[in-house]
Amino acid sequence: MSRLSRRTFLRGLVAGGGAAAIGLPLLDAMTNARASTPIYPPRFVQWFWGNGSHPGGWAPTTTGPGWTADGLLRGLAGVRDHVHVVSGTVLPVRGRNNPHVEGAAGILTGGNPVVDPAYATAGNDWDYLTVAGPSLDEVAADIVGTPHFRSLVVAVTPPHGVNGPGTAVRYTSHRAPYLYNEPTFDPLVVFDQLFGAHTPDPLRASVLDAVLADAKDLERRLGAADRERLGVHLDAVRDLEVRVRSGSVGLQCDRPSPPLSTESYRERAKLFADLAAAAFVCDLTRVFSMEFSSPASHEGYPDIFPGALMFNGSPTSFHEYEHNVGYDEAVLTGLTYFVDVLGDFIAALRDMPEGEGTVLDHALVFGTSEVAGGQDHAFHDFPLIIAGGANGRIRQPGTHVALPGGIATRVPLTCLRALQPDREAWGTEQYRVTEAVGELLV
Amino acid sequence: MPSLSVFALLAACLDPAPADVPPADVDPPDVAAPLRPAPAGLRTLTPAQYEASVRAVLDLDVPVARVGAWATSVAAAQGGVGGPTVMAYEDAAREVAAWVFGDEALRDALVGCTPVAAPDDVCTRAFLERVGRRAFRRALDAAEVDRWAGLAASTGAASDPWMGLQLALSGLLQSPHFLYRVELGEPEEEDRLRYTDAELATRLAYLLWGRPPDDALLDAVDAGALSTDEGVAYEVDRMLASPWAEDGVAAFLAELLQVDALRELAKDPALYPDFPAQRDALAVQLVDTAAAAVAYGGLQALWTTPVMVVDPVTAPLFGIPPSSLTGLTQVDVLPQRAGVLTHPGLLAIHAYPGKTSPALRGLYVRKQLLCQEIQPPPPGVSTVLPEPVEGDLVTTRELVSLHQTQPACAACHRYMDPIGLGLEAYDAVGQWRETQNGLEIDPSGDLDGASFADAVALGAALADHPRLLPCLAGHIVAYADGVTVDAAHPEIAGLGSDGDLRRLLRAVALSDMFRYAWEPTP
Repeated sequence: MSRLSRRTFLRGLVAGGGAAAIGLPLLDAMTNARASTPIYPPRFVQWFWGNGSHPGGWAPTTTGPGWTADGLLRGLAGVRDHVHVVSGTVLPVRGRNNPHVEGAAGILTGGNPVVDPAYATAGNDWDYLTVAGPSLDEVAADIVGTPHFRSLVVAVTPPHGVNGPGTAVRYTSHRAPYLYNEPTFDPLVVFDQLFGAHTPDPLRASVLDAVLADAKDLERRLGAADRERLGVHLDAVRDLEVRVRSGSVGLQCDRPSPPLSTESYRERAKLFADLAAAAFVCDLTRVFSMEFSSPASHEGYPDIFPGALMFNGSPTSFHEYEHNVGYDEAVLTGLTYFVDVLGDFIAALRDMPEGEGTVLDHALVFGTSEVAGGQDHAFHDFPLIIAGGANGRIRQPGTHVALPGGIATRVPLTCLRALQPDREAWGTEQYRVTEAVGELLV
Repeated sequence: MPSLSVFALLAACLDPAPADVPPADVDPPDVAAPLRPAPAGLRTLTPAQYEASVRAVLDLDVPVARVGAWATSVAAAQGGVGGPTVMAYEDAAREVAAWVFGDEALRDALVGCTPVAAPDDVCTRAFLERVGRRAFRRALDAAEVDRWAGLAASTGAASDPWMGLQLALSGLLQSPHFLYRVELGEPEEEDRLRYTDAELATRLAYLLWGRPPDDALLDAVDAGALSTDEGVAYEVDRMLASPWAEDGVAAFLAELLQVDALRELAKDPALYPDFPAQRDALAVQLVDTAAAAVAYGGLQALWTTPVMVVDPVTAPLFGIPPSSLTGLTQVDVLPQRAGVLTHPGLLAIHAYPGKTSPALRGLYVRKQLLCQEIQPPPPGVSTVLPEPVEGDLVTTRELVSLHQTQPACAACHRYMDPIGLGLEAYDAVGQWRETQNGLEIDPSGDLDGASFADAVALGAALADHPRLLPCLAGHIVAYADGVTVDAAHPEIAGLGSDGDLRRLLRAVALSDMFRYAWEPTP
């Protein structure tokens, strides 16, 4: 079978009865009977890239609505009116562990990295450090609910390698210490999970049932941490069992065509963006977590540096190059590219019709990184983006909000409050905040 | 003696301090505190253990995938398993079951009787009891036999009885009892747990053999052979005398040297187009090279033995013409190679895709081989290296010498860079080079007071470093128990490491910290 292009994929989804047919098939419970207008489920996107941006160069030149999307943020020009840029904040890391680890844990989980007592002698080594609690996408999943998949977790570039159990620098979506959500790197695999149609295989499903039954006695004999750990494993077995037994997840919308496979990181991220939009509109999931690159990523980004960045006569990763050279033109090109790819994602949600608006109107995209600047591991002027209307909870049009010296975790709290208005606080220790960015909330 | 201010920086960077610097203002460690045994619980199989375990269950020579999310024993003790790994487990289990049952000879060798599709079928139950015991590393209980026999009967009735067995096998290989080492222990006096005899057998087998217990060891467990200290010592000696002990040593060395990192290691394709075809062979040969060195002279010889295991695929990395080799060969005539520190596999792991990194290589030696912790760069410190001479290319030594001009950099880099610069004569895939950017490379340096002229001498200095053997002993305990340990702890010293790896494995296997556990949080 020939692979269809991404464009065809998108068209295929929108065709076949038109947007209305694939728009929410839902749901009495979600219809506001009095107003008789559909209420769309809230969606949350955690969008992460590694190695930060350029402190001092992050802020647009004007504040408020109609901000100028140029420089590092030029990739947001097409979606500017849906995007809030927050500048000037500080992520208050302790400075005891590797800055990439502390930053990732701080901005994504609102906590300091931790190490299991079994690894106590390894201290502050990133090979052993993990996060203390769930990441924002997991907290959001608890709030917005689980239609079929609790969340979809994907990554585009290979994660930072560690020689140990440490997850804090490797993965961005966590349920609990050491329990990360394994990302899927191949859009075709995600497509297959969401929209694949296979012959139901009840025999294979029976095997998985027996595996689940085998685990029952064991679960009872475990300590709390192992019980949770096995629980994550068994959830994945259960999920596989459902798909194998019925051959598909049981779509209530039209099945799109499969995506084209591609070597380009940016194109692959776009394919994931289309899949996210389609999964949202079919209400297969309400949470999407994208790790474009991991904290401390050592990628070379061949999309933009096809001949590799060179330093002292040798090809060098973006991370290493930035450390050695600082914010030169090539580094700024890379930092701009990270935001370009995020812009693609936001545009894909904007381009997917839903009801009288688009998926972006009903979604909230949180974009960030683990440091403000990779060159000197700076934490001031932290890169923070909120996009989408969140079902009317996030003010539109988008603005640039300058919060000089404000704690960066106020922005994650703002996301949570948009999803759960009575959400009081976010974060622990020095990250704990109770004040959202009021200008962004309706 | 360093001045006080320098000492403060040093203490801030390196923990513990190098041997030549007395930690004058540090209290002596609390020698009374016992090294805590590991918590009881689940450990996932590492990919290497998974492969060995599937093979052991089948007792057949069939291809087996390496599946698992956590490459080291220490990581596998806590690491979780998610959707993609679950799918990989299912794929691998179905594939290997289909392979065995698709070949009548293999199938008959494994099953040994002809099943009928019925829950009480004698052949089916005998198969499940025998193969299931190998898979779960203990006898199945009645409910488990009933469950899997029921599955075989119902799915067999829907197709054919053989298919029922095939599906049951694929299920056993996906059960948590197979995919996790279930080491929960049982209450004992004091506040500790004692591993059950079957659990201890499993721990011993993975430690000493790198594979699960065989039928004979499981029989010995059933006969109570591990219920006394003498019995445990007898079994440990029997296991160390087995040919499988060599596999066990190789499995430990593979983890110590982190060779799994090689299998997916990406190098700059423009510079090293052949590397993807070489890396798997390099991983195997790095372990073979290490095992040959250890067999020759123990853990110190690992860093000094001139023997390298090479084949025509990897020969170019050693500067050897491929045509001069006919297959896997032990070579010991290369002047630039002695000890695994000079093996291309290890050198390639500790380098960037297109260039070397003295800091990465030095960090590896400090952290992994000397058990010293180097502090991470503090936030807000600029890492930009000042431009050496406008536009001119220099050697890495000249480039990183700029670290020494900044006190904040020098505090840590002075412990990493000199070691890495001793390995600068090997490029990012470990090929020997005499010049860089047209300039001669100077590989001389100093390791905590021992000066060296080149990498081979660096290996010798490392072998004699007073921290090396305690650190490697700590790695064995960590490998055995799935925890990290303080290599300076008296109990580690009490293992009495003189570099003899098998003696050390024996001491660990018989130690209390290996045979007992503490209770996890309920």
